[in-house]
Amino acid sequence: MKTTTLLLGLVGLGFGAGCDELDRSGRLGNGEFVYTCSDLADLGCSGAEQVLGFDLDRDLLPIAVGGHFRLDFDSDLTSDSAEHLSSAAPDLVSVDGSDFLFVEQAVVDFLATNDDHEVVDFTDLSGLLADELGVFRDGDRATSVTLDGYQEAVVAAAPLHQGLGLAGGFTYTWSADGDLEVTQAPSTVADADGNVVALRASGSSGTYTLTVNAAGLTTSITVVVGDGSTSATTTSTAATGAGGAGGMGGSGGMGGSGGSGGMGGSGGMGGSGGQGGRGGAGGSGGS
Amino acid sequence: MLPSRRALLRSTGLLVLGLALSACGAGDPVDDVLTAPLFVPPGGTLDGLHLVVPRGRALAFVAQPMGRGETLKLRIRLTSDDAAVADVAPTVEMNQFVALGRGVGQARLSIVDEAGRDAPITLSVEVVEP
Repeated sequence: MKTTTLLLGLVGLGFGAGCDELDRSGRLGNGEFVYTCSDLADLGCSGAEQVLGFDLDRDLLPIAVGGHFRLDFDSDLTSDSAEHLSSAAPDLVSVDGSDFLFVEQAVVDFLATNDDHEVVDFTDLSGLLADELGVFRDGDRATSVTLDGYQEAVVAAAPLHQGLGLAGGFTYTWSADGDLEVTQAPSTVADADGNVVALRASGSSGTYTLTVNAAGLTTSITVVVGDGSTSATTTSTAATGAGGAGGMGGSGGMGGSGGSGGMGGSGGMGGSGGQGGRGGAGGSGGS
Repeated sequence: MLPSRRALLRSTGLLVLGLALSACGAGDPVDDVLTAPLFVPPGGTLDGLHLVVPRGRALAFVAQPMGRGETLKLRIRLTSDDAAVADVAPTVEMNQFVALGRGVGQARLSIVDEAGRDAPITLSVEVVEP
């Protein structure tokens, strides 16, 4: 009975944590715009607050260029539904189904209009180019993770602009070498999505590389299991690519594998107006 | 044959009603517009009939129609001659508008009153890079 109550409480807490609203009042004072996540993993909604350490209970975060997002409008006017939302400049913000995407770095106003094509209210949102993909654990940036045997660790990734976390939905791809087991969107984390993974080692010591790709950026971190000594050591490089205007930035190089001293590849430069280049793969490790 | 008294009253009433409707519908023509800002984004300005709007931004303003120096109690419409540069939309409040900066360049906003009469003046919008 006590266990049930405790579980319900935890579920309630988890639900409450996921109810933080990223909102902003309209400039005309007729309502409030609410940031809503798309179907893709998004720092703004994916319940990774405990992992990423970002305080979501505040005004809207800047949004990563290329990240999917939606908007709702809560009208204070009883006679105007204002169900139609659009951007002031369609060439700066594209529409994909129900989602908006910043095409380039800009500040753009979004309008809520009613059935008579009258503007009920508007507000501005900022789109910033992600210059880095960060991996976080327990609210702090992580460049390496140490696991004892079969221990599990939860990490999350987020696009960053000069260290600032950016909202916007992306597809995250995670990979790991060696005996690391990676579970995306683990059920042990409330509201987890593809930007959150649980790491579990099979028990054998070693040093491995965990790599995540999203928003055209790639980052790798080192995962040390046990004392990390029985397996060949691996050098990982957290490389990033510069985002291209209007497209996806280049992805970074992979760190070398094999013996010590492998050189990581350098990050790719993003192309302008289209798909950015992909960074070269790093060389294999030396002896 | 003279018209009956009832017919005379009816036609007189219709004439008075017609004149009254005519006065309400048209009134004095718009010969000027007074503007006032509601929200001006950073990098934007509103100076009389000239607006500067950064690309991607919205500038909200009041446009009060005037005729012979008097405030006119009528609703006006604004129409852009180049919506790809600057568009304009009314708000839910009478004679309040939002100018939208879409592409760098110049556009003109023509003014039309409720009777469909064009005002002899226009507003100019300059869209600039933010």
